Parts: sequence; C-alpha cells; structure tokens
Amino acid sequence: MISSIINIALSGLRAAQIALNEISNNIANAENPKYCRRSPVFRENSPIRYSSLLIGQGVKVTDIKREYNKFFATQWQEELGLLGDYEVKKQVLGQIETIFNEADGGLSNALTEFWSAWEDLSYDPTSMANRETLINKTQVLIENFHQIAERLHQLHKEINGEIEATIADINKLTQQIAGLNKDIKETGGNVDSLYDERDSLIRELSEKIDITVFEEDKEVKIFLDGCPLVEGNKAFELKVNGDQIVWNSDDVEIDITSRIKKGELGAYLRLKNEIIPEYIEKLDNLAYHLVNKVNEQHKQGYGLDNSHNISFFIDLSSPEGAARDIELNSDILDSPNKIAASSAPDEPSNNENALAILGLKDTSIPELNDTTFEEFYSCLIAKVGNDAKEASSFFEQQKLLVDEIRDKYDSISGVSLDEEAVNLLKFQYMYDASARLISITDEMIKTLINLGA
Amino acid sequence: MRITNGMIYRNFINNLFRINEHLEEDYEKIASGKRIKRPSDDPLGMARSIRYRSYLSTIRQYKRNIEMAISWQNLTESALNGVENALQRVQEIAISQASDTANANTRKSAAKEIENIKKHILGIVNTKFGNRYIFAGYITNNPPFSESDNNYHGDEGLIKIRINSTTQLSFNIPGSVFAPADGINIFQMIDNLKDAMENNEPENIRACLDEIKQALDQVINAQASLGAKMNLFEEIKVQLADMDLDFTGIISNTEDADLAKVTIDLGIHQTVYQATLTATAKAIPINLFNYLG
Repeated sequence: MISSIINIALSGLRAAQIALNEISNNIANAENPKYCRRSPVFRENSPIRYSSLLIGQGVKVTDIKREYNKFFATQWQEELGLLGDYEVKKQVLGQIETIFNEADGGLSNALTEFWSAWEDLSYDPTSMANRETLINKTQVLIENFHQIAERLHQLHKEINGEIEATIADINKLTQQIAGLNKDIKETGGNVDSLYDERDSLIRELSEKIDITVFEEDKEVKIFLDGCPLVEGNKAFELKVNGDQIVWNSDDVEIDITSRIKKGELGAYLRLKNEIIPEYIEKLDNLAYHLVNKVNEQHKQGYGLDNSHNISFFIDLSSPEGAARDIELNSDILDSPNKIAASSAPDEPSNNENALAILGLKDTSIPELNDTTFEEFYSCLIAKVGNDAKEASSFFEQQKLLVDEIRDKYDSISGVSLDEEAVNLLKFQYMYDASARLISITDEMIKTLINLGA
Repeated sequence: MRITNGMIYRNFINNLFRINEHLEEDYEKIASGKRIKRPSDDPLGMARSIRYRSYLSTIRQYKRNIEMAISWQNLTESALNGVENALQRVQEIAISQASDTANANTRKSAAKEIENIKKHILGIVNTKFGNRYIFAGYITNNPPFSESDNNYHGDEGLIKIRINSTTQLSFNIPGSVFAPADGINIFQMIDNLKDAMENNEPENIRACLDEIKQALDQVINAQASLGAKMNLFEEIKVQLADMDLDFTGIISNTEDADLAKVTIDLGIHQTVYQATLTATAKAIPINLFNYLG
C-alpha cells in the first residue's frame, strides 16, 4: 500500500514535469505566429481492486494536445485569398493614380492649355509668338500622353514580372507542402510542429491563389478549381506560357488562366488582362480621336504660307497605341506658318479654321460615347479613382474580417502568458505536493521500520 | 473569449497604424490645403474638379479674348475719332473756301492743307495694332490704303473671337467704311475737293460739301456701331469676371480642405493617438509574471 503511494507521487511528479515542459515550450513560442498552443492531456491510471474498494493509482499524461479549431483555421485560410487579391489591387491601383497625377494638373490641364493656345491663335493668327506657343502647348500635351501611356505600359510589364515571381512562389510552396505531407505520414508520433508548418504554408499559398484544401488521412490535398496542386507527396507545377498560366503534369498541359480568380495571382491577372488594358485603351481612344478630328479640320484650312491640306498631328491609322504614337507633324514643327488658322489663302487674319478647330473642344464626339474630349478624360480619371478607392476600402474591410477570424483562431490556438503563468504555478504546486508526498511516505516507511527495532 | 498576448499586440499595432493613417491624412490636407489629393480620395469630386478647372480656365481665356478685342477696339475708336476730326476740319475748310470771301490764293493754300489732311487720314486708316493693320479685314499684312490710288486693298473679313462655346463676335471694322462701294470714297472725295481748291472752282467746292457730310455720317455710323459693340464686350467682360469668381468658389468648395474641420480632426486624432500610446505602454508590460516572486 505504501509503495503504491510512492508510485502515485512519482506519477504526479512525472505529469507535473511534462506539463511544465509544455508550459515552457508554449512560453518560448508565444511570439511564433505559426505555433499552436499545446496542452497535456491527463488520465487517471487504472485503479486496482482492494477487497471491495477501487484504489486510485495516480496519473499519466496520455497525449500532448495541439489546441486547434479546424473550422476557424479553414475560415482564416479561405479569407486570405481575397485579402491578397485586394492588397495587390490596392497597391497597384494606387500606383496608377499617381501615374495620372491629376491633382497637380496632369493631362487635363495640358488639354485645356492646348485649347487656350488655339484661342490665342484665333485672336491673332499672324502672330509668330502665338503660333510658337501653340506648338509648345501641343508638345506638352503630347508629352503628357506619352508619359502616361509609357508608364502604364511599363507597369504592365512589371506586372508580368510579378506574375512570374508569384508562380515561382506558388511552386515552391506546393513543393514544401507536398514534402510536409510525406514527412507527417512517415514520421508518425508527435508531428505537431510539422502540422503548424504545413498550416502556415497553406495560408501563405492561399494569399497567392484561390485554393480548396481537403485533409484526408493526415495528408492535405490542394485544388485550384478542380485542378490538383498538391496530392499526397506530389506537387503539380504551374508555368507561365505567354499570356497563359499552364498547369503541368508529366505530359499534360492545361490552360488554367480563367480559373484563377482570387489571391495575389488573380489580382495580377485581372490587372494585366483587364484593368490596365482598359485604361490604356481609353487613353489611346482619346489621343486617336483628338488627332483625327483636329487633323480633319486642320486640313481644310490654309497656313500663313497658303499651305493647304496639311495634318496638324501625324496621321494615325488606328487607335491602338495612339497615346504613345501621337506626334506633331514635323512640317508644322519646322514651319509654324503652316498652322492652318485661315479658311482661305492670302488672308492672314482669317481665323475661321482656328475657330472651327476650337469648336471641337465643346463637341460631343460620337466615338467617345458622345462626350467631349475633356469629359471623356475626366470620366477616365473618375474610373481610375473609383477602382482605387474600391480596392482600398475592400482591402480594409477584408483585413478587419481576417483579423477578426484570426482573433477567434488565436483565442483557441494562441498562447496567453497570463494563462501560462497560472499553469506554471499550478503545476509547480503539483510538483511540490508530489515531492512532499514522497518525503511523507518516506517518513511513514521509517516509522514502519522502526516498529520492529 | 481567451484573449492572448498576440491578439493584444496585434490590435494595438492595427489601431496605431489606423490612427497614424488618419494623422497622415490630416497633415496632408493641412499642408496642401486640398481635400482631394488623389482621384480615389473622391472620384466624383475629382472628375467634377477637372471639369470646373477646365471651365474656369476657359472663362479666363474668354476674358482674355475680350480684353484683347477691347484693346483693338479702343485703338479703332481713337482712329475713327481721328478720321472724324480730320473730316470736320475738311468740312470747315470747304465751307470757308466755298464762300465768296475766299479767293484763288486762299484756296491754293487750303488745297495744301487738305493734301496734308489726306496724308494724316491715310496714316490713321493704316494704323497697326501689333503687326496688323486694323482696317484691312483679313488681309492685315498689307496697308489697306495707299497714296498711289484711293482704293481699299483689304477685304470684308470680320475677325471673330469666342466669348462662349457657341457664340463668336467680331471686333474689327473693315476699311471699306472709308470707301464703300455704295457710298462716298473719302479719299476720292478729298482729292476732288483738293482739285476744286487748286483750280479755284467754288461751284465744285460747294458740290463737295454734301459728300463731306455723307462721309462724316459714314464714320459716325461706324463709331456708333463700334460703341454699341464695345458696350456689349464690356458687359460680357463683367459677366465673365462674375463667372470667374463663381467657379473659383465652386472649385475651392470641391477641392479645398475645410481647415477648421481638419484642424479639429487633427486635434481629435492626436488625442486618440496619445491615449492609444499611453494605453499600449501601460498594458503591454502587465503580465502575471511580474507578480510571481
């Protein structure tokens, strides 16, 4: 009976030691974002029968439990896709806004000054200064078109680079996850830290691409809209192939571009294939129709040198790339007298054609959705602003949502130092008491031995 | 709910970031004086402000057009006054030389004066504004009148400026008013008078008197219509100045930050920031471990 008490005390000592070990591990990992809190699971040892009584036999630690709620973990992982998506859009669209740089004048200002120069020319078409000013203001306008277009194209190219980099990250992540699947299956036993690692990698992957995760027999399977990315210890590679994202397995290649809707990759693809091309197209349309309409009218007029049927801008054949290609006709640049302000030859102060060109300023252009040049551009700016604002506020909302889910997840899996401190005391006392029990049993045994002496 | 240390830190950091963002916005607004720095700050407001700025710049351009036209008209007005005065002098001379008290001698010297007056008038009608002859219609690079003949060499071109998006007004007077096809050619008339003086022909001088009156009427009519147009231009200029003020106000309302409000916001955000910092500084070190002996 007494030896059984020593054994019970010993089991208490052991259990307390294991508990203290896990507490110190929790404390050590308190700031490790991947870490899930662990807690020992105690079970009473099977009691033994003593005549009609069942006598307790102490405690043992049967398991170290990883405190983890699958529901919150899944929710967290799933919401990260949209977070990555909005974050990229917010950042890139913010960049696009600064490309248009409207607050400090920008293209709309250059356009207004272009018309102003025509007004001045219409007042005095004979003035060389007015002609030079018009050429100057036109160059500024052209420069504005060039710069915005150039930077948008540059950004478009940079996004291609980002897509390549994101694909490389995704491939690395899926390989690591497949590797962990294998490790977890082969190691058996305590693999909590491997689970932590795998969960963290899956979350990272979720931010980059929209995935669905299934867990089966300790292994995760990861799919992208039906296409496997990870199965057991096998990871399937993605590749960039021109404008397509291609899923790759041995000898099969599938274009999965349209299946990628969320995550950083989804956002980059949308920016690359839809949003930025739309801005470029609108800017090109504006440049093209401005060139066309001004040229059409300009050709009907006469310059101071009686030149006739001359384009003001270099003629453009199609809207594609117009914002990059818009240029002043070099004849006009060389000889400002060729600016055709007059509607008839040999009438230097005739400004009828200049006035007709100025009429374009307030004309609704059918090809520009029946808006004037200025209105069309201000609509484009409003669209850029709206897109940027939407992305930014979606991101804020999504971040709040993710933080909230993360709080719920942490409320189960996170380490609370206060709690650990309380547990530390608790198990310290348990250890003390168990040790004390041993010394008391020791005295009891001494008493027993001394009985015979 | 279990609140973990990680949650507390994260929330503090998120809150600090958020307040810092507000502060940043406030500073930006105060420094720039603008409510809208980027299109996304207020996309509609930005689009509106682009349109208003363009209106404003156009209004100012119209104002400039009108001001330039008015200077041209002022010059035209004084030229017309000069011609009127000269014609009046011609009329005086003609009346006095038509009378019987005049004789061949006085008429001869009057002829000299009239010849000078013609030169004077020629100088006036060939007035240039900048490098343009103001009475030449569109053909402003050539003098509309010359001593060699009495014909008008300009055309009927009316130089127009825009005073709004749909209306154009002309501001010049073609020199044909001095030599209309269906009226009196002032220079021919003066030549005739001069000849009559030189030849000592009182009958012919008297015959010229009626033509002088008609020529004066031509000039006075031109003055009257110019005066009416100048009044119109002045009126439009005042209107445009009003619109300038209006649009400046509207743009300011659309774009500019309400400094009083931003200053108050800044105060509030600074207070919140300080309170959050204080709370963070106090809360983070608190931990049960501090109290374990």
